Amino acid sequence: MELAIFIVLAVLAISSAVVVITQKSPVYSVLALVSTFFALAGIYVLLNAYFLAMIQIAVYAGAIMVLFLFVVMLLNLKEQYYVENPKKIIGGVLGLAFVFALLFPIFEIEKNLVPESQMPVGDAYNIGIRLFTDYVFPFEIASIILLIATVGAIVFTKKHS
Amino acid sequence: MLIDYLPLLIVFLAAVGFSVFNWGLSHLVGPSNPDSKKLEVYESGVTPDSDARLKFSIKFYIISMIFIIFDIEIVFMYPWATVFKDFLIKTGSHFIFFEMATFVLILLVGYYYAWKKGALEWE
Amino acid sequence: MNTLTALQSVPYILPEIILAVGICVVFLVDLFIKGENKETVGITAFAFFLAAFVSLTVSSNPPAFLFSGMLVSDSLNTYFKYIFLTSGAIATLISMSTFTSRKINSGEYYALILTATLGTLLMSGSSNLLTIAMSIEIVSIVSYVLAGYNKENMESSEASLKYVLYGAMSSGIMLYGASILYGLTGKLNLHEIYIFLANNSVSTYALTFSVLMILGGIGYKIAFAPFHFWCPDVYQGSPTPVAAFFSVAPKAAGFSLLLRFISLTFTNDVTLANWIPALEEIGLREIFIVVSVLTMTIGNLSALSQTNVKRLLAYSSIAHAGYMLMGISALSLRGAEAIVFYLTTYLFMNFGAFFVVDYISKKVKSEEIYAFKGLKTRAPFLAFTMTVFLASLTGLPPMAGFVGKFYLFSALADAKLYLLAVLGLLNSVVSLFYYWRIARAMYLEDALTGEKVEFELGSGLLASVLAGFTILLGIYFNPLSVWIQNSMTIYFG
Repeated sequence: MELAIFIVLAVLAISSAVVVITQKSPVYSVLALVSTFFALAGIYVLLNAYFLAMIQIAVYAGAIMVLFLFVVMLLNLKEQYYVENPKKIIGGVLGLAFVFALLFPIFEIEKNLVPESQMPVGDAYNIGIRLFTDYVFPFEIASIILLIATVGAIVFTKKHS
Repeated sequence: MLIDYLPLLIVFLAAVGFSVFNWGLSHLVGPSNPDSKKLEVYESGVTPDSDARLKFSIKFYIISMIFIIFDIEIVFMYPWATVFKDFLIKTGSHFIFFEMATFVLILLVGYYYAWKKGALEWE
Repeated sequence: MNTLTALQSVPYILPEIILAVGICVVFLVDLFIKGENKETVGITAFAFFLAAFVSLTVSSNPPAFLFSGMLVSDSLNTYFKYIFLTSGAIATLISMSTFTSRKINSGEYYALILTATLGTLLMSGSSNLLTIAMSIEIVSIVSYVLAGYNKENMESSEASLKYVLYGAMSSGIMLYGASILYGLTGKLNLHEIYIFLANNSVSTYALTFSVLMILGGIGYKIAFAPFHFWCPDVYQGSPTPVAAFFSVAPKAAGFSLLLRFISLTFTNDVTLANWIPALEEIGLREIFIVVSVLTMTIGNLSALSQTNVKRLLAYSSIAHAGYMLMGISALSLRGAEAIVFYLTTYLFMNFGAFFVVDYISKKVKSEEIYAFKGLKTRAPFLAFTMTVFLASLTGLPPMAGFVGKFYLFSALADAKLYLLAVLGLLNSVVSLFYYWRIARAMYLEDALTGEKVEFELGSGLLASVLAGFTILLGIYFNPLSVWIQNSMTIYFG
């Protein structure tokens, strides 16, 4: 049963990811990306990463997609910007080769998998325990990154008064 | 554990099924004889005079950017709130409070900066 | 193994905390100061650099893993912190004169420099894949903003955009590599990964791939080939003080991270003589030999045809990264020492060269080589300091650059990498040609106008301090060399 759900979600994720990069209209690309994110959230649930799945939907499929749409609208690209480039084919071939090279290590990892019975549960409580003991330093660093992101966005978009 | 999510799946399927069913039904049952007038963009009865895809103002972008940043801040607060009480009881110290206080304080500087620079104003 | 909890770790990261407080304070100071004159903000930032520097000199903590193994604190890390804080402070000083005269609103700029420096400090202290990724991310995000800081300039915006695209891609690749390494070993802490790799055998293919991808992420910060393409465009487009900072601090941080990553993951031997078999299997030495030869050759050959001095210095900085990578491929303590020494000399000479370029372009309004024509009559002192920096960059005695190269080549000879040393020497000869072009323009060619370049006392002072160190470290290098040797005790727990 889980395998069946996984296959459905995986096919959905990959096929919508392919749509993202093949669509001519950026708005459709963004919408396809939403469905990729939903499928990924489903896969997170299968992996017991419940909190992450929630975040995936709330932050990625929600907030970040809105941002993407705004950027697409802001740029408002017209068809003439899509130039057919012969280099695309070379890039595509190299990209595919890279993807296959990336796929192989995954099969090696299989040996080290944690047995399913011992799989930890990634809910908000367990994540909280880890985050505020062992991982408190990266947590504080995250605030610096967020601060800089805020400032960066404002520096670039605001006119100097 | 996964079985806990069954209701969610059912709701999800019901939502998707409902929309697909109605959409499909109207396609099957409704008459369809398009002409050039009917295929025009619907603008509440007014004749459309320009492209629907107009350039958005950058103000939208900056608001949603700031929204994301505070959205992520909330993401961190959620597990914090969940473990807060247990932490106080188990460790007997208020360390976890100061952890979050530092985090929020640094972000407050960013918030104050955005405020003062007028990023939150809709000019 | 001395692994500390969060509360116990706080005294160890005093400089970082001072910088973090500094970031917040500088933002607030900027908001409270009205008007165009933002020098106060710069001075505040400089004060925090000074405070962090002082806190580093007075504290003496035993080496330890901090925050449950997120960071490591040892003498190597302390030494690198001096380098980063110095380069942050110098960048602040250079920026203050440039930004005031060009009327660029510079309030948050100094806070960004502080943040970038904080990021480099964390990069050099990271001992966990998570902190590595996050500290690189801090430096990257700040760099994107700094590169595009001069928004009115199209080139600056272009630089920022190119930087973002390359940066996002390489971060993604690095994180994927880190996730494979985590999948193979089940650990995030580099020392724990070492323990796992020493006691278990893992697939060589997967390990090679993951290490290569992590090196890609670090390599993008160092700008080694084939991850160097962003470098010339970004340096050329960024404001010059920013380009100077980029060419030193993140590069040094990248090298310290590289040293830390390789040593912590593949050995626990303080003398760096014994490595686990996995290192041999993935051919790390061969990888670095190829990468270093590629990097210095591409850097030097591309620099030959440049007419824009900033772009030329960008390619030269790629070449210098190549020289230092030769030290990595020695995989020995002497190689590591040579890199650290080289970085120290590089700090002064490269900042100096960029500073003179910045000063000239500010006064003459051009960054092309012809702007340097006849500088010996127009600005004799600056022409002299520039010659010192160029000679040092080439590696001519009695400059600091010569001693740095000498240490590098002797480390290579120690590791019996003679062919690599010869290639490095040949590259130094090539570099002579393009550095000479600037010197020739300054001394042998006639100026376009006879007008003197205005001399500013503060800038002259900074140039002479940088030039002074460049000469001093070329003649009297022993104390520094001893200091570095004493700092070379990497903490393995």
